[in-house]
Amino acid sequence: MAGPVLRKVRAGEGARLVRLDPDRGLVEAARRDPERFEALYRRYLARVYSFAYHELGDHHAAEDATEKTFLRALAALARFEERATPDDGPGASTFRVWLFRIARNVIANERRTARRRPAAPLVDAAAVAGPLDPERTVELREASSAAWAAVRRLPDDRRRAIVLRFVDELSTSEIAAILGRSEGAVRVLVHRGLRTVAAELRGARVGRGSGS
Amino acid sequence: MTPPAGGVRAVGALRTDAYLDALLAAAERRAPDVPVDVALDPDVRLAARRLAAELVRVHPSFRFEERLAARLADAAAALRPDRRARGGEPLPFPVAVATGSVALLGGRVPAIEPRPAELPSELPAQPPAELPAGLAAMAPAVAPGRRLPRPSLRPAAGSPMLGLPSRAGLPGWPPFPAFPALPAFPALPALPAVPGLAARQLLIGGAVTSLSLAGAWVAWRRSRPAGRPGAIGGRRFGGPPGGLPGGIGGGFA
Repeated sequence: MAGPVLRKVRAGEGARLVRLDPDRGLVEAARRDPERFEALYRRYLARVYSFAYHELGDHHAAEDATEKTFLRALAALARFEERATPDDGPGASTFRVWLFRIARNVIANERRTARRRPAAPLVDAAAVAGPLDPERTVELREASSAAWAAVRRLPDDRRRAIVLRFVDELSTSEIAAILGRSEGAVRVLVHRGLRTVAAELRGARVGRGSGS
Repeated sequence: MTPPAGGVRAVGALRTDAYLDALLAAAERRAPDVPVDVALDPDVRLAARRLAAELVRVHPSFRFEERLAARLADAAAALRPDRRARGGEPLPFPVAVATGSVALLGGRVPAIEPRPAELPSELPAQPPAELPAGLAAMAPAVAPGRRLPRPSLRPAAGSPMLGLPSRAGLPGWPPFPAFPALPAFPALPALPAVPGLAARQLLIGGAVTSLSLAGAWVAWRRSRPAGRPGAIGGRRFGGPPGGLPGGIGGGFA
């Protein structure tokens, strides 16, 4: 997780710290020359794609959502405003938050479309094992299936907060700005989501232990 | 620490949030251990560690990445204001200035609004003196304020075209006479064979021809015995006396 870029600003008599966008240079270059947008694209491609993939559970749908997100971001880059005011929250003005807001809207549209056309669920996204160890492969796949199933069974807002927190490694304030919630609400969402996942995993452990 | 609004649940959420910050920061710096908060629920801690390990970031395929990069580059080229990425500078459009001349101004002058031509509302009673004679004869027929008559294509009085017969009463064209069939082309008699014609050589190129002629001359010259008038020059230019010339190149060098 990259640290914030801070600048001391004089406000009235005292000085306060204002969080600056770490992508400010790249954003300004892309505004002057849209072909320089490629640097921002390369920086955030995996994050946006991961967000879309974990939300949608399908590679093709994630690719579509990623493509729409970056095309919309490029077209709307001139309208992006960096508002570094404390009232907006420390992460509200960054390009990253703005980009993930676009991704959230695109993914919401894709999910609405997917509900009309249901597809096969994601079952083996994070299975990693050597090809020469089939038992371990099966065990890991079952375990990750349990974790994945637990995450995917969460309500939308909790699941989205968990994915943004763990996969994209965004801070609570950034997630709050993306989801349009307060930081306290996001903390509660993540906390409740983790408790639900923990309960499901504990139940799966108990079931496996009693079954064996 | 002041308990936040929301009570125990909010405290638990804050504790979980602090633990997640530490956990993700430790994973980023590849730290082997993670700070443990004893007040945190062990099940929540275990679930957090498991999700941090298993909810991995997924990278799309290289093919998709490059295809989308190319599409974004196209979109960016279309967004550029000067359109230089489309293959060149746009040519300035010719702009008509007020004096009637046409100049390439490159868009650095304000655009001139197109206006319809200003026509006189009333025609003059007398044609202007500089009007041609035919148009001047037509001008009195036009009353002021009336539309211009359609010009007539009939020849004027006294025109030599009046003597020509009218085309209206002419019969149609007579049928085109058919040409008689041409006689068959007589077969040419066979020409007598020319000796050596079949063995005629084809010479190609000036330099090759010159080299071939020079080689033939050398061969012919070598086949001539010494003492003949052609050998005198060769001996004078360094050839062995009484024998064949020592070679064209060597003798002349």
